[in-house]
Amino acid sequence: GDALLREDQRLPNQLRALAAEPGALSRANGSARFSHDGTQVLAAVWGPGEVRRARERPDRATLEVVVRPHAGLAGPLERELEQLLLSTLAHVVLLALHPRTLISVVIQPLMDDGALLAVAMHASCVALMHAGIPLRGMLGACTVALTPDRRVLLDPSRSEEAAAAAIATLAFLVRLPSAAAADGPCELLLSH
Amino acid sequence: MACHFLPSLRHQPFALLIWVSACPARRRVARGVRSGRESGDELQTSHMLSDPVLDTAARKDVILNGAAAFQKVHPLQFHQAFLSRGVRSDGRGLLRARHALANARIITSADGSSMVKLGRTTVLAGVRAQPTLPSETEPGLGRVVIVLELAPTCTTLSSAAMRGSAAQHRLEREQAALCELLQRTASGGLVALNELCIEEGRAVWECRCVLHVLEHDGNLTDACLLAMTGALADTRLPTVQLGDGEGNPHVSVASPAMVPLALGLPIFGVTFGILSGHLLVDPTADEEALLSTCFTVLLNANGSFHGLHKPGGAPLAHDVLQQSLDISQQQLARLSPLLPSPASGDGSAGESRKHDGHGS
Repeated sequence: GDALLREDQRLPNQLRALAAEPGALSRANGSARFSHDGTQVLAAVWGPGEVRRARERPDRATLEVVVRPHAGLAGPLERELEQLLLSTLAHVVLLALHPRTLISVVIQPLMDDGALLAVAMHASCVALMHAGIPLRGMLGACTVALTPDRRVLLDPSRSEEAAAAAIATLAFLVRLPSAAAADGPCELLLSH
Repeated sequence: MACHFLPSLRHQPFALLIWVSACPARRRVARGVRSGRESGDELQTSHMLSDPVLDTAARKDVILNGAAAFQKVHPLQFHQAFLSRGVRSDGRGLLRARHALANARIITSADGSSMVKLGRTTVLAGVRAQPTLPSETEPGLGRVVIVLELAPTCTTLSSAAMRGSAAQHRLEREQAALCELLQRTASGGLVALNELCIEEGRAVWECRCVLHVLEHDGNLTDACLLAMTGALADTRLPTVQLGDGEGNPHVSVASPAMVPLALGLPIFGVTFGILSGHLLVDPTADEEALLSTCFTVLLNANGSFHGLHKPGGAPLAHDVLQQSLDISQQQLARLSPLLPSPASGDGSAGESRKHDGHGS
């Protein structure tokens, strides 16, 4: 009934409208603008390209993630976001196919209305696909908010995140279905 | 132990060196070239050692350094050789955590302090409280600020790897992720922030908890959580009041009795790692470099699930997740005596709680 609906008239398990625009930047090897209605993130990918000898790895590509805040200098929150994205994307991208190269992902949040980490993951996944870098599967992420009155809300907005008792972001690797399997298995990659 | 390892190591010269170095020292010193043939279970070593070019002392060096060299050159195979037999390189079982030690009131000049040793990982936490202006949006809440510092001497990485802006960025990132986790835990429910208010809108306590990692031998998450909770539990603040002397507001001590901080339920973390498909509890620094994924299960002191922190890495199967949740419940019984109970007096200097790491 109406008591179940949230502020923006969504059901508790309803996501916001997703929109993806690959190729938002013309100069990057791959780029994408992904939005969950109010939260918009721009991701750009350069690579596989040259890497300095100090960072070169002989068996796999070096992955670099940079998060730029939309205002001001990068702080610890941006560093944490970089670390989470780096360790997740390091498992999604097939790094062993491009040894001694650098793959650089730059994330720029444009608007933040909740669920920023999940939108950044989606944007970087689409940007990597646009750049033609081989991936192990699709990356799907979702933010879940637990309200004080024990309701579970998917894809919370900023006001819902502020009022939540607990917030979790889960990312899954969705392998595309092979010829034998009916549907690809999802594996838990990130829980934050 | 020697005979147990013997049959499968017959054809692997590198693994053989490990077996030999595990023998007691006096047997190695007493054994010459010939006595190697005397006991039956040393036939394997005498076959390798009968090379006439090497003399006894050089041979001993080869044996003693061989295992260390193997670990340096093939670290993954070194650890896998142990894991396939259900132990780890330091002799622990796969699901056994290290010996944990927690000391409270280490630094008398700080308002609260704690030192935690988890095996060789050492973290020192100090809390300093200062009255400050509250933030505009939350005038009645105090603040807890967590700062994490990794001492330059804490890891065994060469200094060349630590220099340069890229290395600084990497360290900053790894520190930032852990620091944010600690900050969220502290501000989330560990400290009752409304109790830190001196006068609403005008003065609140700001507790600054600085964590120094003195030695990094893996599993910083658990050690830092314990150290931070221990230091906050050890913090004692005087009761103060805000006075308006000559138009300048200042904080004066109302009574000299030291009141401990009002803490909620402490949060404990149990860190797991997956190495070549084996689930490990409490990885050391050598193992951490080889793990395919590392995650921490956070539990309340009464055993309820507080959170799962898995910052990326290889995917986690559902049954492994379930197994780790069960194991962390068992570990809680080992970890909870490490923190001082609220009813323990005013904390004598150097009080310590030792607990053995019988985890499984």
